[in-house]
Amino acid sequence: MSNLFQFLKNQFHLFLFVLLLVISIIMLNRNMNYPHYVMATMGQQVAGPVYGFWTRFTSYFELKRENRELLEQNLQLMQLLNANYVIQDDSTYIYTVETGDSLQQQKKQLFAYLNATVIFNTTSKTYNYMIIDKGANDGIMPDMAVIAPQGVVGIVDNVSSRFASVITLLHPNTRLSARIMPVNQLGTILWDTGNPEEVTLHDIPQHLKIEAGDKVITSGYSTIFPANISIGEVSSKKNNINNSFMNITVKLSTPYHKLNHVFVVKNFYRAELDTLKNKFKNE
Amino acid sequence: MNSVILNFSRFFLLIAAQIFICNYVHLFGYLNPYLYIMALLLLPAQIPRWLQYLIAFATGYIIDIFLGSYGVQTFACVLMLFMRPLVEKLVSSKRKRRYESSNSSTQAGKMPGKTFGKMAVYILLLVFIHHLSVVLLETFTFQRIDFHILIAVGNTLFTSSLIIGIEQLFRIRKQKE
Repeated sequence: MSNLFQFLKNQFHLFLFVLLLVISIIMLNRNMNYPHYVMATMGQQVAGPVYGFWTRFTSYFELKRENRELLEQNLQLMQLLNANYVIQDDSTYIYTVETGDSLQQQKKQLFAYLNATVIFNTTSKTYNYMIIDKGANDGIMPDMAVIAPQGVVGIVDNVSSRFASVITLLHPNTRLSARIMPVNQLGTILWDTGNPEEVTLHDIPQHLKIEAGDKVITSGYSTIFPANISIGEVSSKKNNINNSFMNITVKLSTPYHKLNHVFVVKNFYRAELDTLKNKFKNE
Repeated sequence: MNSVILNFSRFFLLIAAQIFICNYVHLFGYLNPYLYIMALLLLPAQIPRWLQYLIAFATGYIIDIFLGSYGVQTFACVLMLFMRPLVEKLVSSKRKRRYESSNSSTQAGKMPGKTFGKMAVYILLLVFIHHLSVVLLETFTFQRIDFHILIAVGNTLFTSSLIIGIEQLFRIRKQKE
């Protein structure tokens, strides 16, 4: 018996080694949703403030580029203003149609935008994600869309009180409904290239004429993303031998490795649309 | 007592460097150095092995929190410290019995191996063990395995050159004093 204890004492480090390996493998298991969610939320509460503190310093280095981009975006927005059209074309007809009577033209607001700062971001991993500095306190909920001035970024995943994690497009589980212009065909965007600058577009039939440089935009058919947000441009295409579809490689318009400011999109009618969709599924 | 403070400050500095600098480095888009494992490589071998494993577990978990990759770094760190005595035996010139590693040359702040070549082999081997397990656990698939191993090798060279560079820098300063 004492020999046994002596043996256990001598080999204690081996048992501990195996135990620690088993614990880390349990942590690795992505299928256990609830424990993983608890761990991710707890981790965010530690990592979020630290990264937030550090981003306060590093964001200064990006200011010049950010300013230039903001100016460009301001310019685009100014061109969309109603007032622009009135000044450009002074005819009374266009003036009344554009501004009109407020009672006749009731506008429905479908989407609202919140701005957020990226405080951590991965692009070179297999499962990429980012953390933004807005959370449940700011009205962020899971499954909201995240976009940048240049294009699509991702979908909100976990939300803690002051931070939220975002699954970017560079994640094997992301599916995105897309439209390729000018042929106006719907497809699905997947990330299976492993390259942080490219995604692939599936479900485009082979008989369509696709050229390199064709624009790929969001379709607006999902309840998450608004329509007509840029995803990227076609960089190459290849016919699939097994079926009648093409494999199209799309170069992303969003520079994921230098994202700093993003917008979170809230869909006011999300719940309503989802219940309609679910009813259809159940039948 | 002095060496405990030295070790703690080294862990603190290297983990901070990992979180604030190395996590933002993406050489060629893929290579991301894990500099913090230098603190584990420099851990004195006199510490009982169960304590070494616990230290590795805690260090890996802290980095995992900041990378959002729960379990990956933890597993790799514990495995690396398990392999450390074996690699150390490989590079040390004298023949030793297995559990005599407490007499080994790994003291606080010094890598084992008398010559530069042996020290480099020690660092390269252990860093490769860590990086390979990180890459394999992160992807968790054998698809495009050649590509992932290539990334592990490239990343190993990157991290090792950083570690060897820092090690040489401090060695030269120590010799001058």
